[in-house]
Amino acid sequence: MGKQEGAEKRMKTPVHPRIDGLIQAIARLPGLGPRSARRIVLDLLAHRESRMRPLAELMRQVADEIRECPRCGNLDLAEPCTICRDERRQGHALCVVEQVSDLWALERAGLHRGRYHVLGGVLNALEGIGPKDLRIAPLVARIDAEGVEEVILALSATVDGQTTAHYLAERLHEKGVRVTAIAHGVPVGGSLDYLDEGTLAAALKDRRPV
Amino acid sequence: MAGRPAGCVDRKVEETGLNAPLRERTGPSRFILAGLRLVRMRNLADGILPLDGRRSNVLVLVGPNGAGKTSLLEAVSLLAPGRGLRGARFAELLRFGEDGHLGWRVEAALDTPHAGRHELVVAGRVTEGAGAPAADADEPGEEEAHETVAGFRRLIEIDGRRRSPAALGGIARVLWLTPAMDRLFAGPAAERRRFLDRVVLTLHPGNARLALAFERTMRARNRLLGEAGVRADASWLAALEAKMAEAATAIAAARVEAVAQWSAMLAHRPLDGFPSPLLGLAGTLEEQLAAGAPALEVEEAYREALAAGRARDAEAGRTLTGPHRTDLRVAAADGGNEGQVVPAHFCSTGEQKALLLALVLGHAELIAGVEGAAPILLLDEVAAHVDEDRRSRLFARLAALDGEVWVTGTDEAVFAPLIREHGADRWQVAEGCIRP
Repeated sequence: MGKQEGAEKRMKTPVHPRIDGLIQAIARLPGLGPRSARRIVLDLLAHRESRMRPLAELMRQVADEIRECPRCGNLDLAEPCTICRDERRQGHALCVVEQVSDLWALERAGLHRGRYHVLGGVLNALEGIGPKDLRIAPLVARIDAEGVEEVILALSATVDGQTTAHYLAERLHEKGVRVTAIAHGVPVGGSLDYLDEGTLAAALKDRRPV
Repeated sequence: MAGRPAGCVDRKVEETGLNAPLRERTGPSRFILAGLRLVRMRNLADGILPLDGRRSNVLVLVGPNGAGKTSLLEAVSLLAPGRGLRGARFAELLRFGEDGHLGWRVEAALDTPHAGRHELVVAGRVTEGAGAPAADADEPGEEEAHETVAGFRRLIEIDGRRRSPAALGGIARVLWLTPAMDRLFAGPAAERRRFLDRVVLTLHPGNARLALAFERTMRARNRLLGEAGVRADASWLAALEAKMAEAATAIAAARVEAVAQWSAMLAHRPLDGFPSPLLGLAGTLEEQLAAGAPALEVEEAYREALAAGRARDAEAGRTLTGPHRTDLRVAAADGGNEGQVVPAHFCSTGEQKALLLALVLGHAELIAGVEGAAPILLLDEVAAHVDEDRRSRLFARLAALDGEVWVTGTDEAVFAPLIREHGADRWQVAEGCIRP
C-alpha cells in the first residue's frame, strides 16, 4: 500500500491510489463527502460503458464548450447568452442574483421577463471577498449601456446577502435608477405559528396595503 | 466503559429504557426530564439515570468533591443551546482517555408543556478529517461550521432528526447557578452581559440569530477598518453599519424588555429574608430605548455614531460602542435598612450569593409565568455561603416552583428540610456513579 498524500494516515486501505484519487476528487464536490464519493465511484466502475464513459465524455464537452456570458455571467453555449440575446426580453428591468443557480430558479418559475446579472457571490469581509471580486462594476456599467430603469435585488436573506443588497442599493442610487428588493417573510402556504421571530419581524416590516 | 466500576446502574432501571412512561403526578405543565442517558461524559459512569423512580422533581445530589455532581448538572445543561454551565469546549466533555471518534453523548426524554415529549440527543465527536468538517457533507445539517472546535463537532438530534444547535432553544429551558458565578458582580462586564443574554435568550429564543448577525457584521467592519482604515470602501462600511444598527437595536430592545419583565417578577415575588435585586442596563442603546426613544431613532443614531467613529475604531482595532459593551447593573435593596441601595459588588460574599439566588429564582419564576411552565433549574453547591434561615426559605420556594430542580452539595445535613418537609429525592454521587 503506497502512501497517499498524507490524507489517509489513520488506517491502511486496500484501495488503489488511482481509485482513491478519484474518490477524493469527488468527495471535494459540494454536497458530497467521502462516503457518498466511495459509493459513486464504485457504481461508476460497475457501469463503465453505460455510465462512466458517457459521463466523462459529457464532462469534457461541457468543459470545452460552455462559456460564461460576458454581459450577465450566465452559463451558456452562446456568447452573449441566450437570455441576453433574446430581443423579446424587456431591457428596463434587471434582476441581480448571487449565483447562476439562482438565475435558473427564477427562470424555472418563469416570472421575470427582463434580463439578469449574476454577481458571482456576496460581500464577505471575513473571507476577503470585496466589491472587486464580484461583478459589480459590470453591473453599474450595464445601467447606462442598456437603459435599465429598475434593478431588482434578488439576494439571499442571510446577513451577507442583505449587507450586499444594502451596498448595491447605495451604489446604484447614484445612477438614478430605481432599486427594489424581493420581499422577505411568510412563505406561501405557511402559517405564522411556525415562523421564527426574525422572519416575522421581516414580514411585519415589509407589510403592504391590501 | 474502560476502567469503570461495574454495577453503577441499576439493571432493572436500564431495562425500563428511555420511553418508560412517567408517573401520573408529573403533569404536562412543566419541563420534566423523564429519562437521561449518559455516554462517555467526563468522569460519569455510562448508563441511564432512574429518573422515573423519583417521588418528586426536586433532586438533591450529595457526594464528596470530584464525585461528578457538577458534571451531571453540566450534562443536563447541554440540553439548552450553548456550551453548558461550565462553558466547556466540546472536546473537554469527553471522558479522559476515550476515543474522540466515538465521542460523548447525552440522550434525554424531555416532557414539555406545549408539545409533549421530545427525544433529545446532544453528542460530540471528532469528525472525519478533523479540522475540516465541511469535507464530510454526507450527513446534512445546518449552521454547523461554527460548532467545530479542535475537530470536535456537536451533533443535535430532536425526535430522531438532525437539527441545528439553535433548535434546542425552542425546546428546553434550562437555568443554572454555579460557584463559578459567585464573582459575577465583581468580575468583568462581559460575564454579566453573558448572564443577561442567557436570560434574554430563554424569553426570546430568536435572539440567537440577531446576536450572530451583529457579531458577524461587526467583525467584518473591524476587518475592513483594520485593513484599510478610514480609506476602506465607504459604501461597504455603510452597508455593514446599517446591518449592525438593525441587529443592535433589536438586541437592545429585547434586553430592555427582558430586564423590565425580570424586575417586575422580582418585585412581585420577593424572596423573603433575601436582599431584593434591583436591575439596570448600562449601554447607550438600552438607555435610549428605556427612556422611551422610538426604535427607529435609536437605530439611526447608532448608525450615525458608527459612521462618525470609523477613525477612532480603526485606531482601536475594534468597535468601541454598541450592545457588545453593555453591562448589567445589579444593586441590593435591603429590606432591613429603609430604602438603602447598595451596588452588588460592594456587598459581602454571602449577600452577593443571596442576590444571585434571588435573580436566578426570579428568572425561573418569570419563565414559569411566561411559558406557563417552570424551567429546569440546576443549582450547584447551592448551600455554600447561605445561612440556615435563608436556606429554608429558599428550599420552600424551590419546591413551590413545581418544576425540575436539581441541587448539589457535599453535606447532606443542610438539605434535610428539603428532603423531609418538601419530599425531595436524595441521590448519592460517588466516583462518577449516581445511585438513588
